[in-house]
Amino acid sequence: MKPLPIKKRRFYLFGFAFLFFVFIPVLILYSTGYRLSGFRLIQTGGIFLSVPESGAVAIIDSSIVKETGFFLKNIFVKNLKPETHSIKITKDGFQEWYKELMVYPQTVTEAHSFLLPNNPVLVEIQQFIISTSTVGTTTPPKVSTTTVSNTEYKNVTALFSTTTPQNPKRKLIIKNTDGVLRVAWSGTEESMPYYFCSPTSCQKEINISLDSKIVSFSFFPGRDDLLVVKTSGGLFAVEIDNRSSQNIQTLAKKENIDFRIDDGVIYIKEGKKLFFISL
Amino acid sequence: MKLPQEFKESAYFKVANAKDLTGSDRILYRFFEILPGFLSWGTIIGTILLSFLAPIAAAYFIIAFDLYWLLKTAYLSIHLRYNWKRIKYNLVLDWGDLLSNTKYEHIYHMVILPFYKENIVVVEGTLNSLLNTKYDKSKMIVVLAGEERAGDEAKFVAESITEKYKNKFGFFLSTTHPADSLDEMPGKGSNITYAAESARTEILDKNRIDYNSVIVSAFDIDTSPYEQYFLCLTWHFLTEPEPLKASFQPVPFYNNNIWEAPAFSRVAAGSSTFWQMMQQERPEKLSTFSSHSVSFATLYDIGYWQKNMVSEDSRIFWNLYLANNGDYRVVPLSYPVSMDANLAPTTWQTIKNVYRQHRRWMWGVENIPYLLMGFVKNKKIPLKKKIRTAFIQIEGFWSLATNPIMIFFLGWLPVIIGGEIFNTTILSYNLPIFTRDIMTIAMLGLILSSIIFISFLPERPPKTKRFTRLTMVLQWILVPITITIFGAIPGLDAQTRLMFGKYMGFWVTPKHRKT
Repeated sequence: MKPLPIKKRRFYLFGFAFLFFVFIPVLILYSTGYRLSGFRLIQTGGIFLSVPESGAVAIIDSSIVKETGFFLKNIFVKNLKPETHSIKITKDGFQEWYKELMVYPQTVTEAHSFLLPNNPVLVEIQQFIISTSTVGTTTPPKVSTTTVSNTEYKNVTALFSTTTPQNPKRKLIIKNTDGVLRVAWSGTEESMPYYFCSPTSCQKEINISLDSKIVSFSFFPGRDDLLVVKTSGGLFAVEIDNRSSQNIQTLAKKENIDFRIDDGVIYIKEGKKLFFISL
Repeated sequence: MKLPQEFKESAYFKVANAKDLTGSDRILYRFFEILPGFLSWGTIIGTILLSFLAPIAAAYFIIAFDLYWLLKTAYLSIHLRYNWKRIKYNLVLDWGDLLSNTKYEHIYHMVILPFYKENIVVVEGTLNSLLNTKYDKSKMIVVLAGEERAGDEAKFVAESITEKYKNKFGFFLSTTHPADSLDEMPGKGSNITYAAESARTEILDKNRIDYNSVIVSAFDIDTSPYEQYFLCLTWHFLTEPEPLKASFQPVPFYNNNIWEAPAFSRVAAGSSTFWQMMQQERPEKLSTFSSHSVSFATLYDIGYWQKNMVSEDSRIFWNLYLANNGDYRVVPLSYPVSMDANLAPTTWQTIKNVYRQHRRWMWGVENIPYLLMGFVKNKKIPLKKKIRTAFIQIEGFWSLATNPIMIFFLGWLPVIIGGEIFNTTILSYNLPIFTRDIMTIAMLGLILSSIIFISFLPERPPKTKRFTRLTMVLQWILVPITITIFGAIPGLDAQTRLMFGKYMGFWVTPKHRKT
């Protein structure tokens, strides 16, 4: 049996070289968002959505695009025409997140959604708790109960002894001007958060206003783009991103409450009662 | 048939490294030593810098490289598959029948078996495999080439083996290469050169055996030829138009202890076999590697193997190539010899041994400066041939050292260090997806690898669990790791040492068998 004939080898070599030179421009155009529309080459863009929940459904322009999984919660949608697209993230039992976003050619528009339960559960922190102890020397063992003060209640009460919610050291400067939050960026332009900018320009300030005046605010636990705000109507989560309308979701519809955030937990004080929100 | 006399008599012919030269020659040789490492590091550092400074350009480059790699993988797979068919064909072919119409009784086979401190079991295994080959044993010359520096235990092994096998072959010679010889590097090259010269004076001359009728097989001590190896070799030698201008290369299988070796060692060994199989179908890219065969007359004419460097197995080809002004080739036999896969008493030691062995193989890059210097000094080789050969060799070492790193690690780099602006482009999102998809498609080729690997496996030893057979298939998912750790990194290691003039010494791969 003879070795692979040189003619065949050359055929393969030139064949593969041909494929290389044919596919390279195609792949580069494809990777940069070019698509065929009929006989026309058009530029497309994409949307990257981060979704905090698994099992959520992303709907773009009324079509279900993807459902988030346990590990893959981020959604990347490409081949979108450069125009405004409506995006909805839904999940049973959760408040809906909706946004209209402009997609630009060869660019990925980024958005970070948030989903809060329809009725976030407020779990009361008891001032006192019942402690049980067993005396093992008698038969049957004797069980005795005593009421002791709850350490957690004390700690959370201490949180509320400060006058205003703590504002972490961030480069986002937020000022409350007569119930309207004005958010500005104090860092470099290169590191400016995505929601301040479009591919063509950046805005200097973003305003956040609700139906009633915002009394106090803090950053939502674990998020730089989401605020917890208190109004006379209750406690809400509001995104800073003002590309189309800002999503507002309810945390607690209670009047005359105060809130603090500590170690990733949102605490609410209503009179003498203390709660944490189970999300 | 006389070899040209010019280049082989020059001062450049048996140069080991730049230190052997002086003046401008030394500077030029150093430049050639730096070149392979410079190209490999330049590619890696260049890609990193490009990813940082011009991430879009870097992304285009990586996409082009990914496609190049995929197509290259497909192209090489075609060669691998064809050679697989050819080896299977050659294994069942009756080479004795093929030779029956040819006068070949005058051909002697000299088998040189260099050994150091290997266990007697390993040496006996090789001798037994020689006995099992189908060739007239009276026409076989076995040279057991020991080392004085290996000590008394090795001496005892040599004596025992000589006693047991001396009457089973036409000629049997046990040599002891003296320790601390001047102008020599301890290693295989100096040992087998000493053995070949001893065999010439002790056997060939005394028995008036024509040098032109002797084919030398320079084996490793664990090399076990398949049963028709010498018939196959004889046929190729006799049918080669210019047999004194050719070396003969078998395919190294690592089957001796394959059922005992751990998965990563098997994959590394299997990958080396596959590389050789692909090269067998591209003989213009082939140089001799590990166990190989060549006419005694050809060897004698240039003074045998170089004694002052590590990669004597491939250097002998380049010696002969330059001595013959480029008119020299490797004839691929597409017939296997079996050797040991790396195996040590512990897994960690096996990992270290595989790495060291592959670094020694990658140290074959020391042939690049030798070759380029030879091209500069030997004006009789056509320029086109020089350029083509130099490109093939440089590209080969560059590919081995850089391609796995480029594919498996640098494909994501622009996304990591390309900056915020690049990360908003659709290109930055597509790049990792594209690289991942290319890798996935290329990995489909591993199915072919596992089929070929399984097809050449020896019988499963009774003590080995049945489950091990399954691991022989599943092991191939380790390829991205093994070609990086045992391919690219030792390649870069060797090239960096050469670049900085930190020349390597010979490291003997320990042969270990589970008893």
